[in-house]
Amino acid sequence: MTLDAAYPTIRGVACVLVHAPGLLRYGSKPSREIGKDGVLSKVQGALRSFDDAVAYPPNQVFIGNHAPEALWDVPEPWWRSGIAGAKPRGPFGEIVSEDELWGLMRLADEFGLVRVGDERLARARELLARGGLWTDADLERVVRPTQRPAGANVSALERSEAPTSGGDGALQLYAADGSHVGSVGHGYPDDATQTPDVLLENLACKASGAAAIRSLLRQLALDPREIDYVLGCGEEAVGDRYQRGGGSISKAMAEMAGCALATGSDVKAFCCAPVHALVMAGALVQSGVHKSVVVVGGGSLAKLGMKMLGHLAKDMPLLEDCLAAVAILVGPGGASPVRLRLDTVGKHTVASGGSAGAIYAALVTAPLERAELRLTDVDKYAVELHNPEITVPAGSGNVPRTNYRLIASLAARRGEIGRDEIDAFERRHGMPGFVPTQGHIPAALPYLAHALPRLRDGTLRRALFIAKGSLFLGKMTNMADGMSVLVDRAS
Amino acid sequence: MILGAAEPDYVEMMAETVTAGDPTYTGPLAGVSLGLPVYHVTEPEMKALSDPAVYRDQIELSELAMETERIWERVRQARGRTETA
Repeated sequence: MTLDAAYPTIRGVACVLVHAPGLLRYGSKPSREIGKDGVLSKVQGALRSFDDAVAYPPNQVFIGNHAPEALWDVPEPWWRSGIAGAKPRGPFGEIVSEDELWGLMRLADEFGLVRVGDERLARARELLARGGLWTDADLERVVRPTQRPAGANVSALERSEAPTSGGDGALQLYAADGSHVGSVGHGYPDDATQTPDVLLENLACKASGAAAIRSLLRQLALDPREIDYVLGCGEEAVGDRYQRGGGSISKAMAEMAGCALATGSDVKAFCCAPVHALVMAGALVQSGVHKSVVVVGGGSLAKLGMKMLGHLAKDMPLLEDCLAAVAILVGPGGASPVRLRLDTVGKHTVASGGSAGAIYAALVTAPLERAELRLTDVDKYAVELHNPEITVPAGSGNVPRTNYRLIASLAARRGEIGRDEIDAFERRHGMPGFVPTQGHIPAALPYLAHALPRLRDGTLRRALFIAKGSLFLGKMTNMADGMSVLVDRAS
Repeated sequence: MILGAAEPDYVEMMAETVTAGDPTYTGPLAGVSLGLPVYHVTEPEMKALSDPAVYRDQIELSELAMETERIWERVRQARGRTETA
């Protein structure tokens, strides 16, 4: 095998889940529903324990203890098919418990916004120390007294241990069992972009994203100072009233993860930002600007409990109780046999058109034709890998299956497969969805963690990563966006 | 009401939503029976009304990807209930 220098390479991928049942009530959908009669108690009654979240088969796939394809054989419903003896740690990362989360939130908070009781922080420190992901200095910061820097709303902080939301609007935090944990205060007074709920979302994204970077560094036994640049691809708007989406949460994550010699910036393109960011990371490395670039997507608190009404109606547990984060290290040619094929990138242009045929022509046919590959030459297609057990009961369909049937139909129309082979394409070239509905996180890249060892050992030759973004949700255009990139093994 | 969704179960749910009312009780049409005649865009009746060039360009690939027989069956059932109501 020759390791060529013509392409940047994928050196490692980390996938982390943060079990956050107590924060679920502050997801966008739950926060709009729990004021209604009896909804809060229904939500509380449908939360999963940490053990159940760990044993949940799709979560075990996410952290790499099982292959996605193993889910074909797990009896449905998957939430009743918990894996006995499942561990919260796998080859790609870990599942962080809620008890640890409170400590991470304090660690993420540089402005004294988050107040958590001393006992919980001591417990968080102990558990985080056991996990081995954080340094002694980090652990000290978990239990340090809360500072009150200029700009923080002091009255909110002073009220922070009150059991309900005060008139000044400090947001009260609760654990899964309903017990009071602490609070999140305001940023600048009267700044609608720094209300406690917004800051909580941003801190949750920062904390989970930084945990994914840490996990990546541990996986590769890498000095954090080797990281040059961090590209964030999450969807949170970090800023203030004059620059609502100012950024850069990526540099904040780099700081928390100890990447002292890195800076970073955020790539925004709704759910297809991760693939945009991966291509940009490759370009930065290949051009020689940077040597080691991390692409990171933090978890999305807003999407916790997004489909909860469908789950409650069907007496299911609330499966959207985890923040999910992914971090990928892109390095120079020769650093790994797994190549990021910058010559095989698909993009949905302004002129591409919005039909399924037009989108897949742009994202699948066009790049593969440039590489002189047939659709069937791609071993695996990574699409929007939403867990169908979350989306189907809420009426949103099986998202990956729809994608695979479209790609299969494209192959059939081109005569590469027979029309009677469309049904089998999903199993041959696809996989079941296994990723929580965390927006940008299900967008293809979690499969890169699974593909990496298989590309290394040669059981996989190439995989195409495809993401689409619903730009129209932002009201600036009616268009969607899409981006794809091929990853293969040096031959 | 013309539906375009790709999955039989989803189509059935949408068809029921705009005829008998939202079966998931998650949206504003929970318990609201609109009784609209409902079709899927790939059904022969709808296809016959379409410009063939536009249909080929915009819908044909999606149609190929869909299990249309199952989709049509579900929509026809929902429509049948409306017509007999």
